[in-house]
Amino acid sequence: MLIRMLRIDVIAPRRQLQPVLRTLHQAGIVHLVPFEPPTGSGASVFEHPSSLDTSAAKHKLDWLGELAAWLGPAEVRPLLAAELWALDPHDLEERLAAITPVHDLARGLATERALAQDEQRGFERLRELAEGLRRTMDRLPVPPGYAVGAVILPPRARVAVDALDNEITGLTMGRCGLEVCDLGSNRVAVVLVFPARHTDDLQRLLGARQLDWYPVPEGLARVPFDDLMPMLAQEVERCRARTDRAQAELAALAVQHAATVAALQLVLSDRVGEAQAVGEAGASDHLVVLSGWVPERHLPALRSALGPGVAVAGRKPTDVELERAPVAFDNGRLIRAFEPLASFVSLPRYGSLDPTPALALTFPLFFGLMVGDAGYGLLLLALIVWARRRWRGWRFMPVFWPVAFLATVATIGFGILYGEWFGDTGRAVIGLRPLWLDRQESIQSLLLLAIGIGIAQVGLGLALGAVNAARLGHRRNVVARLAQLASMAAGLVVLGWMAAMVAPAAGYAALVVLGIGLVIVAATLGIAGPLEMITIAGNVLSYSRLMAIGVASVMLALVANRLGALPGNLLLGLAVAAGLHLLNIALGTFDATVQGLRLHYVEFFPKFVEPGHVRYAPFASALDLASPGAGSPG
Amino acid sequence: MDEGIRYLAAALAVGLGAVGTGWAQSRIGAAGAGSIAEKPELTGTIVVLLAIPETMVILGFVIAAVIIFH
Repeated sequence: MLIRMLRIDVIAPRRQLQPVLRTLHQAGIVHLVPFEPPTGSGASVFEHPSSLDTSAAKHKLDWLGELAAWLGPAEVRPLLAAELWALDPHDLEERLAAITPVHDLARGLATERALAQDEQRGFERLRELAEGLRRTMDRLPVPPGYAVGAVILPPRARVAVDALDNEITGLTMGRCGLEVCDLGSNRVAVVLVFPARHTDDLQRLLGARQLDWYPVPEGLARVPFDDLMPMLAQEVERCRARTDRAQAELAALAVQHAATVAALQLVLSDRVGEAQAVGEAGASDHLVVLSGWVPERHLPALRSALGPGVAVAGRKPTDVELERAPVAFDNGRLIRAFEPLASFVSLPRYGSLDPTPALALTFPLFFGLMVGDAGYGLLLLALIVWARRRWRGWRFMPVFWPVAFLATVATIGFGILYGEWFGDTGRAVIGLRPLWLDRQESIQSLLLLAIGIGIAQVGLGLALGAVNAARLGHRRNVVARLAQLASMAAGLVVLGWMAAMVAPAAGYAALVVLGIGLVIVAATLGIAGPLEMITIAGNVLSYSRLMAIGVASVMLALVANRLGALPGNLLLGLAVAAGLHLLNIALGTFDATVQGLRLHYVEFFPKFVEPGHVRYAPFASALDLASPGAGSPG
Repeated sequence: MDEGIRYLAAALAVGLGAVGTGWAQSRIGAAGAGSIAEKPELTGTIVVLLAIPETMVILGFVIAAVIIFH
């Protein structure tokens, strides 16, 4: 069900705005909305106080973010964060100032690490270059006053070497040498020897051509390659040691300060949120009013948190306010898992029926009806139990586990009813027999069952639509939904009459009801009303996919068994059958999920779910501050 | 001969339905991917729109089943 909300105004002396906001933030149960002055009181009485300047706090947040990135990921320690959360602005500023030396130190170490890594890459590239060049020469021909460096190109850019040669020859007035050597791994190096005074011009030219330049250090340029290789290996090791040293010092800093930095980030972002919330308030000369929504059952807790000096006025929302009321769910643990699926297309409107329980009941049944194989179900169950153990901390596990568990249990149940264990393997090996329907033979019965489910669910949707319309006070829609329901029932009786399954008297009566129903539908919904009846017929027929997917699944299982039996070799036969069964499980799971949800989203929900405005988002800290609501409405 | 024509009719019922569904989904999918790139909040709506043409091939399959098994 959806939580009952109260529209509230928190009224306090103007000077208490900041402490009241802090208390609301700590309570974490009020969904704040911008204050709107009561009718009759103009802007001359109430004004929106300007939001506090948050630019300094945001700058500090960026500063902390930089430090956190250098120190690496850290978990927030709740006690430390709660202690920092309680600090006044002055003390918080002092704590931030205390971090400044750490920031400076970390910046130095991070820079040192980056420089060492950069140098290491340069030496490694040089080693690669020397390795390539030593096949054709024993040292670089570098006259005094000349510098040397290399550009590394992919092979497809080899055609650009001549153009590069021309440009550099022009730049140095012919005083340059160019050597191309193959580095392997589809790369070529172009080694350039040129007058050292042209270094800047050359770098500019190469930068403009988006080519990376690897200069050879002056001290290494004239060393024979045989001597150069061990020297470069030493340089690489030296750079690696520098990187490791900087990394180790950063890790030591992280042990000491990372948790504090993470907590400060959280607290500071909460302070920014509070400063921005000031702009939502309405203020007169002496009073300040904060408007919002709160779950009805949390109102006493809110009053007690704010204390006697602050008034909390709960009032009946106007029709316009109801349209914008935030929506929050309140369901049991098992059903709660289906809430994201139920609100995937749109949130239900505040005050209407919650579609989640209906989805929680029928989605697993549809899944089981379509996959319907005890062997597949047990395999899927084992898989999701393993997944639950393997990824226990995964944030979607509380949603995934109940939904998948119910769906696989339904698959096993329907598998037993259909007498299926990896297709017809159960029949052949253990003599399993269908208890209810044989999907291989009774395709028409399965089709009738699917259409019957469609009639029941679409009919239920129309009935719930009438209830919903009554709850929301839409009388015209109540009449329209009931007329559609009656027309649908009458249409079914007429079909039964045509098939000689219903007495003619009942058929005539149904025709009359159908006629009256269509007239009422047209009168209440306009010309689109009768057309919608055609859509409803289409919706019902759409449930035949329950049969179609199911039959496709069982047929693929039979094909897997037949193909598995074809080869004379037992192992090969098992491998073929197992591969096809796994493919069938994957396809069946995917199809049954998508089609099961689609039947709800397209066929069922539109009959009664009206789209809502926004999800309930209380003004709360990311930190659990042990408040009555603690950020959760439930 | 009659048997052959029945199977041909069943194949056409599923095949043409599948072609129609595929064509419609390709158009909706391409437009939907563009819409989601600009407005991720439209994902739910696009998924629903993408699922609508599937009815054609499902109904084609049902007709084929009726032709073959009736």
